[in-house]
Amino acid sequence: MIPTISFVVLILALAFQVIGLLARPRVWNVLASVLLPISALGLIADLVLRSIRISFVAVTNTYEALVFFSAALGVVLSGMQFHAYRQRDAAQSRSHGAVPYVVFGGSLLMMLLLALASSPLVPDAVRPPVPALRSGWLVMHVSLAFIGEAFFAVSFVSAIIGLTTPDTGRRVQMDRMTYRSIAIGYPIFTIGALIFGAVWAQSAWGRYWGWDPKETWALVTWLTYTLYLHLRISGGGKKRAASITAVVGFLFTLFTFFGVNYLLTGLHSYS
Amino acid sequence: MRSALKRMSTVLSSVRFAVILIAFIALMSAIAAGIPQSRSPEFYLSRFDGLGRVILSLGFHQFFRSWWFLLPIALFTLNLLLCTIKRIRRHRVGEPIAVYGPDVIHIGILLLIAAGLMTLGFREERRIVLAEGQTAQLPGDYWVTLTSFDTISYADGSPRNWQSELDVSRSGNPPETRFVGVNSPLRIGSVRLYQYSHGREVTVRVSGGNEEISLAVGDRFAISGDVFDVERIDTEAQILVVRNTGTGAAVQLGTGARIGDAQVLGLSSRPVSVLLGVRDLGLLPAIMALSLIILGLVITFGRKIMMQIREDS
Repeated sequence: MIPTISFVVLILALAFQVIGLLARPRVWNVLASVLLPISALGLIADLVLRSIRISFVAVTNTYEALVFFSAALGVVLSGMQFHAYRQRDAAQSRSHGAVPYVVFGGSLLMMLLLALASSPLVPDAVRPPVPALRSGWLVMHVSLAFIGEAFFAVSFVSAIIGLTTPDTGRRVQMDRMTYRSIAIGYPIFTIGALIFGAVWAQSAWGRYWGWDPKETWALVTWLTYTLYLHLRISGGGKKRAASITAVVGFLFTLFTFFGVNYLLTGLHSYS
Repeated sequence: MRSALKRMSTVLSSVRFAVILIAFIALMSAIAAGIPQSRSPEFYLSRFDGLGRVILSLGFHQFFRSWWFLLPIALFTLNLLLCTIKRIRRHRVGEPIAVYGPDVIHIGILLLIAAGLMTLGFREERRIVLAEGQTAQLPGDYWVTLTSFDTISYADGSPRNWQSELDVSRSGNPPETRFVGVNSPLRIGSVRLYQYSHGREVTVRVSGGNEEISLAVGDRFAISGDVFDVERIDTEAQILVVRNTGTGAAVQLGTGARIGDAQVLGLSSRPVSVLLGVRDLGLLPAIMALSLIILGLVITFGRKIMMQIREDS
């Protein structure tokens, strides 16, 4: 019930965002910016209730992972909106004029993730985790990985806007937003997905790395964002290549999450 | 000659070279992830037809031990090492500690690569299958005896944890009771024991010398000149499903079944705990490397984020 309410609230937020972007009266943006965090809080509440029922942190199957990812993205987007609101009187608008576009794109991604979570492809039964998943390292691995990926989602949207806009000023704004998002998401993802993942693998299976398809694709994703950061510091004309890399990086993130589960088999086939 | 060496050093330590190597390693790893690794040649030929021959001849079936992977990694290591040395030499006394952040990350990655090579060369693992009362020897003159294997269940009956209770003794000392469970490994001397799985061990009696063979899933055995892998044990139906490693054919063995000149006289089974004993010289360096990388990330990106916040305010 709660995820359904959150989904409906998110749809409303999206509708108000569209009206706000097209018709411009401030009230629609304000309504949308209130509804988005409410939706995210609803998803968090659902995860808390599931956790209480299974007596473990509810991030151990695909459904819970999708809801967590959506909630994390919702929190990040809400934070961006709040930050833009606080900076609204800044002498230079920097990236804040473009925030509503990025928030809209991020909200669309949130909606897609939740739509997938509610599809028949993803069972949502409340079940306690199997023995291999009962680990604090697993909880930290999954939660930090998805928090990092929430920032990557923001960079994905801002990179696409930056690559497709004819406005030079907006391109600079989006480049800055892409960089900032990745600068926050990259260390969180590295620590969560790779480092804590390796620690959990060592305690569960006796080896910290095994070239499992999921591990390999997480490494490919990490290498892609590492490539982004190094392209960005190369300077010169590399900013466009860096933005393309940011887009590809998030597509790899999605493949690591979904594609590996359904197309490639391995030890990691939990979520 | 000196200027040629200097030019080579500049190229080898450049960010551009790093970018090329990172992209190449990412691309090749992505391709390799789609190819099941370390299977038999028959597997690739039957699954991939002509492409299977290409996979085998290029070594893609063992990609992460092949030159396709190890050479770029070697070049990347050289690039990272030269770049790190160059960066550290460029730092001036009195600079804030935060500028060393990327260097700490790079040193962590170099140490991690070294740890990976140590693991590749010096990791040993052994599956230890124990029924209650059975004993196994570990390196360092340790002996472990399984006293009990327990399944701890949730209220709905599904498994919450599997745990082995062991008596651990050494060189005539009185035994100590220790536990190993899923996600709760046990360190005994230089070996770490993991609760790998559990199952049933089947004892097969065959004709021709009253031979008795004890088998668990994954074991390999030979009878009448043929070698078989145990794929499945159905204790209710008293059937063992094995695969002939030569022909690839699956065979069901029950009482009365024939294998070449031998005949199965009977099957009996008992529960077993399957432990994995691991010794890995690369583990400690890997832990140190990962800790350095975390430290470097916090220093580097903490500084970047603080700079962005100051820029906003």
